[in-house]
Amino acid sequence: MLTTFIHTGDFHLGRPFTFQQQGNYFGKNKRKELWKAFDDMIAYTKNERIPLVLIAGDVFDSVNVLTMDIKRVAEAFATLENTWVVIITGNHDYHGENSPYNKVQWSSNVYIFKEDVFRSIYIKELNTEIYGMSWVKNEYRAFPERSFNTIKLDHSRYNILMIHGEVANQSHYLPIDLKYIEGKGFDFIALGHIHKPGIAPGGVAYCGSPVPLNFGETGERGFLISLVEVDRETDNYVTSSGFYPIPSRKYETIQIEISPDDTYSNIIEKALSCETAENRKQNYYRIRFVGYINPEIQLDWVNDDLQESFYYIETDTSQLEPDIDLDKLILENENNPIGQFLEALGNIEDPEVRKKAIIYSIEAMVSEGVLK
Amino acid sequence: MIIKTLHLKAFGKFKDKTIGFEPGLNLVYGMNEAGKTTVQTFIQGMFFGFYKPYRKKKTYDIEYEKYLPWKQFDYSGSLIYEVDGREIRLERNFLRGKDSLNIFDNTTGKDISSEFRYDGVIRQHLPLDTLGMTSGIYNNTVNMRQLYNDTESGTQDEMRDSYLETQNTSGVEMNFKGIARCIEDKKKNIGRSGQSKSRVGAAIRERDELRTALKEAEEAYAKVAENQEQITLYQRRMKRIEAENDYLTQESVVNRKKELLQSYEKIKELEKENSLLSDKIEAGEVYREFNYETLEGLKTVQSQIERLSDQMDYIETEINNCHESLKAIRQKEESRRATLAGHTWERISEDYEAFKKEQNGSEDVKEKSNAIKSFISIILIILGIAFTEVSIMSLLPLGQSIENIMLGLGIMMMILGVVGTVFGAAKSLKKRKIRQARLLKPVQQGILKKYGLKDVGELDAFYKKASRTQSELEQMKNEGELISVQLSRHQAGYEVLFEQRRGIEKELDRKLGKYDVKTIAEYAEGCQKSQRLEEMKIQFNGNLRLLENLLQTVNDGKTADGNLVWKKASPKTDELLSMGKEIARLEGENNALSDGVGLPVEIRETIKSLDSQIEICDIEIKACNAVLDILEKIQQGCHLESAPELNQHIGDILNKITQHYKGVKIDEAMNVKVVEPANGDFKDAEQLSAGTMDQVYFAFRYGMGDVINQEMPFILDEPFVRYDKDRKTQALKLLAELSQKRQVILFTCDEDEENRLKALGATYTKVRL
Repeated sequence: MLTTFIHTGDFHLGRPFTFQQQGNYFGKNKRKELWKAFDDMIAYTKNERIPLVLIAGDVFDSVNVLTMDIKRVAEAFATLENTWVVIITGNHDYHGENSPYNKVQWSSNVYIFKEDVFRSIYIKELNTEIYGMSWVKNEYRAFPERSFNTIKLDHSRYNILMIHGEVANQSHYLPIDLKYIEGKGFDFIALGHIHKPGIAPGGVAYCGSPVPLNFGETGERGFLISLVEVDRETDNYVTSSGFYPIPSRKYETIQIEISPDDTYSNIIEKALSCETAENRKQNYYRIRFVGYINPEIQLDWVNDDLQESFYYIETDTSQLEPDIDLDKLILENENNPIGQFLEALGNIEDPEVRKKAIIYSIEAMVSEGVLK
Repeated sequence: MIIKTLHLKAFGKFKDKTIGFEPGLNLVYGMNEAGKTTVQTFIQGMFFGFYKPYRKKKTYDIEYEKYLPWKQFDYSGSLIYEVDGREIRLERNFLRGKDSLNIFDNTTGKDISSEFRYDGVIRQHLPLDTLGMTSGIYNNTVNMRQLYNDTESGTQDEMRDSYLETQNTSGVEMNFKGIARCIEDKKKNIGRSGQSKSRVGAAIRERDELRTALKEAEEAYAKVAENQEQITLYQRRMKRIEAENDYLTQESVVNRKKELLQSYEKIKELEKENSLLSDKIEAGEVYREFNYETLEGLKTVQSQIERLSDQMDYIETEINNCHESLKAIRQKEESRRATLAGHTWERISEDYEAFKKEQNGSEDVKEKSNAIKSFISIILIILGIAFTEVSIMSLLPLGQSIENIMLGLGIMMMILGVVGTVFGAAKSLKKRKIRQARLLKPVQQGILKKYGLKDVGELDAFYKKASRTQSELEQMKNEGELISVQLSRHQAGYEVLFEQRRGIEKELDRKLGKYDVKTIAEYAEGCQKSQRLEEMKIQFNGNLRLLENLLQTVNDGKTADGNLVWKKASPKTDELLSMGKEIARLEGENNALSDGVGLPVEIRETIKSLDSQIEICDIEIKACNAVLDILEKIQQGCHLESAPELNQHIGDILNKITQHYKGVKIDEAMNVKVVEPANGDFKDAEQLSAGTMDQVYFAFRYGMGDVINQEMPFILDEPFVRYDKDRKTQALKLLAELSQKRQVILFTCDEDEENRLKALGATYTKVRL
């Protein structure tokens, strides 16, 4: 009889990360965090004697993940002597020609679905039947309905469905019609792929990524734990799921308003006062400067000046405008080379290049005394 | 600007040579080899030095070597020129390592170098910088060298820019150069930061290197992954085989273990036993020669001896018996002879004969009782009558035949009874007659007396007795003789046997002595020991063989009975072994592959960071380039607009000289094209005759100098060598005109120029070298 189980996935182990500076340093640390989350999950499973762990795809970030990483996972699972580990593959670690799952030996407590049709494994001691479908290529535009329709549940068992895909009408990543699959009467549906964890009533859940992977991924991360009980009156299974958070460095995006009166040191000060020193040294920060800046101030090196006060910082000045009325200037110099020049600058196609070109030119004209 | 005085302190062939110039036209006259070009080059050198332009490091021009004086200790000079009413003195040392330029106000003597822009590469101030003069522009406009027609490469832009600067006629001050310089500076500084950013060039280089490294790393790790997959495949197969084998051999393994254990114990036991045996064998080695065959031989000899002894014993007994018999016979003889009471048989016999002669006839009648005989005869008669009666009268119920037999029997019995009775009565009558005849004679009496006998009976008895004794004695005598013969035979035989035995015994002793024993029993004991020794040896060797086998077994996986249980039970051992080896090989290869190769993931991340840095820089650089581009386009626009004036101006000059060509076109690269008046076609200067080409360049320089910088002098070195007379005259006329506005310094070796100038009525200063 199944009492409790863990639902997790989307670890993206071995993932390369993008950082604007010292990519390999931050990337390495980030990968360590992924491993820490994985190890935490394993430790929890051991300590709490969880009998079943569901991995809903994308344990590995790529089919070309390092063999030592695959070994590490296999070895960790092998230590879970009293736990069944059931795995489906996802779009990142699909079980294709170069499958990471072929590269090492898995212990006998690990079951890996290896087909892109629905199959099941019945675990007698837990009276639990797990249905799952794995990815064997990197794109599925349709849900394998025919295969799904053949499923006949034995309701004396606890029935779990595992899918890695997107709840949507259309998707390149296995579109899932939630209503449709819920209709089958599974006791629990363990989904993977979407990195934001979410538990819906009726025993459907996205486990989410146990560690945020980029600035777009905010909020708490971890894995899901479900408790299974039998309702004595109706004799039905009752599943209650909860979230077990795993601490990790967060991604924070902070917007800072700049005004033309701000000096360079004002700007630095504003950036530093956005967070406590402790948090600054803990999390990943992206500071977005918005508003208007004195055209004589250059923010080219602001990142370098902030760097030592943060664990990681990147700055975004794309929404910051120089405080200068270009149109008016052009109008005033309509018939002279200055007007000609400024107009030509305004015609530069690439907006980022245009912006920089204007800033540089204005700076140069100011320093040469052409503009006062 | 007017060049006033040259002082060639040490330059080329000149030493402490001073040359003065005047405003207007200066005609510098000198024969060949007089040093005209040297002087011209001196002027250039005083202004710019002899350095290659556009270098990041100071590099000397070839002219440096060309004018280096013979005794290379000094290489210097000075030049005084006047500009804007101010007299400036340049003092330059050309000498490598000591090269320097000092700029003085010639009136006050004050060093005014710092008023001029400083060049960090040549580490000198630039005196003509304020006039917008670079060595390139100077050589293309101011300085017209001998037969040097080509525009100096790399200077077109400068010239164009210089020209365009002068053409900015708009009301707004637009310092294009200044803005461009600012942007250029900006561009240079992009990506330059002491902290985290590297210079963009370095970043790009690093990224390119990393891309190569990434490719290598990815290839290596792809191979590693491929190997790993193979390893896993092998491991799976091995596991399967092992499982099969396990299933097959579980019992065998247990047995095998038991057997091995037994083998070990057995080995231990055997080793112990053999160690004991080996001691014993060593000790028993003296009995090695003892053997049962010999023993049998010895025993045969012994039994021979015994047999001989037996025979001898027997003979000895016989001899003793003989002695005994002889003794007994003699004693018996004695006793027999005693019964004769000292009489000899012969005497007795004679006497008896004599007695009997006397008695002849008188016989003794013997009377015997016949009463019993008579009684039996009567019984027989009675019985016979009875039988006869019974049978005749058939008193008994018997058969006829039986009655007949009884009748016969009865008759016979009656006959016998009658005979018996008659015979008995006759006998009794005869006895009575013998007793009546007994009576003795004297001779007979004497004989009786002699022998102490009473009657004839006694004599008879005595005689009989003596006769018997006599025969006994005779028999005894015969016996004694026989025994004596036997005795002597026995004695002879005994001696022969004795000798035989002694020989054999000697031989036996010799044989025993050989084995160092005294008796056969001892030898037999030795034989037993020898046999034990043999047995021990056999056992020892057997043990050794067993040990060997056991050790082999233990080492080879054989059981004690020699079966290859292990192999039999694990039929795929070889495959396992080879897969194990293959795995080891692949793992080794993987180690080698990943050794020293960065992780692709990390390399990729570094590349990404560099990419983002480069991207930022790239945008900045693009922005700078875009600005510079725009600046250039605007300038070009200016050029295109003002070019017709330049073309017109130069065309006019050319027309004046040639009286033929008048249209020219200067393109953006400052190349001059000439319009052929006949058909209006453009011709490159190079396509014209040598003289005309010279004239085109003269016109170009003249005209350019006119428009770019009217302050600078115009210096010409033998420009008219290839001119015809008319064109030379026209050109000289132009120079004379020009000298009204600019100082002109014309170097020539031909007096023709002076003559023509005179003819033109031009004023000039003649300088002789």
